Amino acid sequence: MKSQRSLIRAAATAAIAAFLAGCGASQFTTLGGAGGSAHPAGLTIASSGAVRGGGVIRPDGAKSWMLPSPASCAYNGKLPPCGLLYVSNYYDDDVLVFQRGKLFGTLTGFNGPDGLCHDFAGNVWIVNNLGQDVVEYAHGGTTQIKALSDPGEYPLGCAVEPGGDAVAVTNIFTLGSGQGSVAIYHKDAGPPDILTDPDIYYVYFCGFDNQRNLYIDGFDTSGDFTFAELPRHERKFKNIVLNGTIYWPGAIQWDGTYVVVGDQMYQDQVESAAYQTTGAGGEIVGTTVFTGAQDIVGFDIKDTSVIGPDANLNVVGLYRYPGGGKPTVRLHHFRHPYGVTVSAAH
Amino acid sequence: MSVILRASLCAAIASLAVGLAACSSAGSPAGVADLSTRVPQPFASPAFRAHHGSKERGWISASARFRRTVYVADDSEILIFPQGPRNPSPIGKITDGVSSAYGLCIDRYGNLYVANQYSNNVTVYPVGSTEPSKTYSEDLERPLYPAVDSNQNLWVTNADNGTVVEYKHGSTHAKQVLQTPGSEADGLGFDVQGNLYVAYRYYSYYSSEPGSIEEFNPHSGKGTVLGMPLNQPQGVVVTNDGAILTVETGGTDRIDVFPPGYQVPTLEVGVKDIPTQLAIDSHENRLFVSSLDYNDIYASQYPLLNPNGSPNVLREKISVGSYGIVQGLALSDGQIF
Repeated sequence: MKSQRSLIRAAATAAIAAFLAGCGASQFTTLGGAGGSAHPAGLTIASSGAVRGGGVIRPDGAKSWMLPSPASCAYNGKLPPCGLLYVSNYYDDDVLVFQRGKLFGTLTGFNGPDGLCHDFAGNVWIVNNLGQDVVEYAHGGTTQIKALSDPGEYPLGCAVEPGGDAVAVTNIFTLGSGQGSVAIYHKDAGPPDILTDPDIYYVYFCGFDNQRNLYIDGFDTSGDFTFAELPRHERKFKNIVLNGTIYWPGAIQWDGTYVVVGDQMYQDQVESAAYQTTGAGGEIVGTTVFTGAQDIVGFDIKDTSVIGPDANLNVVGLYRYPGGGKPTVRLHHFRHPYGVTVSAAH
Repeated sequence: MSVILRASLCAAIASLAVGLAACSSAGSPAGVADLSTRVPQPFASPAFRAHHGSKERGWISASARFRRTVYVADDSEILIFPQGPRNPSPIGKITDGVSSAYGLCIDRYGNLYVANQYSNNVTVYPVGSTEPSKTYSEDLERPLYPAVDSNQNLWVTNADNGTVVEYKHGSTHAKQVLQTPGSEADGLGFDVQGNLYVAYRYYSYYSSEPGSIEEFNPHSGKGTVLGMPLNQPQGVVVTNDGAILTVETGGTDRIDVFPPGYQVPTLEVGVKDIPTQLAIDSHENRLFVSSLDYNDIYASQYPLLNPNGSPNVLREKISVGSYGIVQGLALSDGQIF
């Protein structure tokens, strides 16, 4: 019963949020310092706290005014711990960028920004869930440098092949509510390879391991969680049976050792967690519980930190990884943050 | 309860929908019926329920012309509600020619068609009018659902013999009668190619054979049974991309979504007791369903599963309980074939 009430509450929250979408401007009053203050870039921060007007955040690659940041860092209580934190703000159609807990800039003009991912160079990919495309920005840049068209699909998540040139995008389902798929884009442009797994109807998230095998999760037509691997260089998915139950598909990440799979409804409750799995081995070897979170969707693991966007509480939390527990830092006042990625320049 | 709480998308969405539907209905904890006491049996569509009270003359507010509205069949009257805030008051009522009203539809010109199941006729009301301009009755045997195709031909399903009757535009004489495999024909809809989809069922107490949907070529009359097993189906909507949405009753009480070619639903959304007619707006952004037992109209964003992966929720939009018995509904901005 508790479960059902929680579910109802979660859904009601989502429904109400959906209902309110589009009603007025965003209110990021606690982000980025006091309204009207000067931004480090010399841009004016509007009273909403968000940088507007399309100013160039990074004037050039040689003389970046960005605060220097290492590419990797242990948990340090900062959000982000290093690099730039990108947060997709679904109902405001923008992506907020943070550095050291401060709002750094806002990328605007999206249509339902959802999953985020980055490549080794720090370039960031933003999935336009309702815009049927995926766009790329340079690390810290405000100008779109590439757009991958994904017509007829609702793209949800993305992952960049480590050391390779592929960008994988999950399409949860088609505009016609048809079966979801994975689109594999290559640098040389051209149309993507569209791959489907007959056992996964709704495809949620994807992630590569260090061997460039791709993992996806989703629901089958019975509504049961399904997990699969697309081995490198293959075109056919291999379904994986985990030795545990995941109730609602979450993000997939590689933590350096394990394939980590999220559960937006940990233990069938309004709580979230991430499981360390052996990937194709199907074994769950550890659990990171996001204590107090209600719906962690597209989290990102950064060394010994994990950053979780909570689409129900409209916050982004910093958690220890793999310990989990309560968030030590939270950013507030988002409107359905679905995805985050921590990008570092190399 | 445990059935509803099983870890599946279908069940989760079903429980969400049912539970939320109960939010406005105190006295029904969680709004979930005890399914263990309800053994689905083949059964005819719910019978007419008498509406007590004197029959009043119809009226339609001038504001109805400028608003998106929901027409609700309330046995001896058609109530017109504005779309918008929850539980709005009616802004119109049609009573002339309305008796035991069931399914409704509105054509591209705004004409309202009312299937009067026990009067064995369909009455037509021009937009803004409370008096019928035309009545169809030939070959109607307890008509349940009307629909108007792209050529303005009227199609009506019969509950008493499982047939669908076509009336050519401008004529009240039946042009053809199509027989489904069932003993009762229920909801119907058209795809963008003009093919006709008709839900049907059997209602013999000696048979538990499930119903299904038959697709007809409206010109040749040739039918193809699509084969999805349906428990006492009601309304049907076919979306622009060919997905079939239909309602199951008899204790199943849910909306099923069948993408093209599928015989198993890829989504099941629970609805409080006895959902009947479905209606979707012309932009396919919002889905409405009527609930007979609770006299409510529920609505949800469409698709029922959000593109961002979270479920949409059916929410009560109109409580017709204080007015009468809901059987069917139609939208002023609904599908146009």
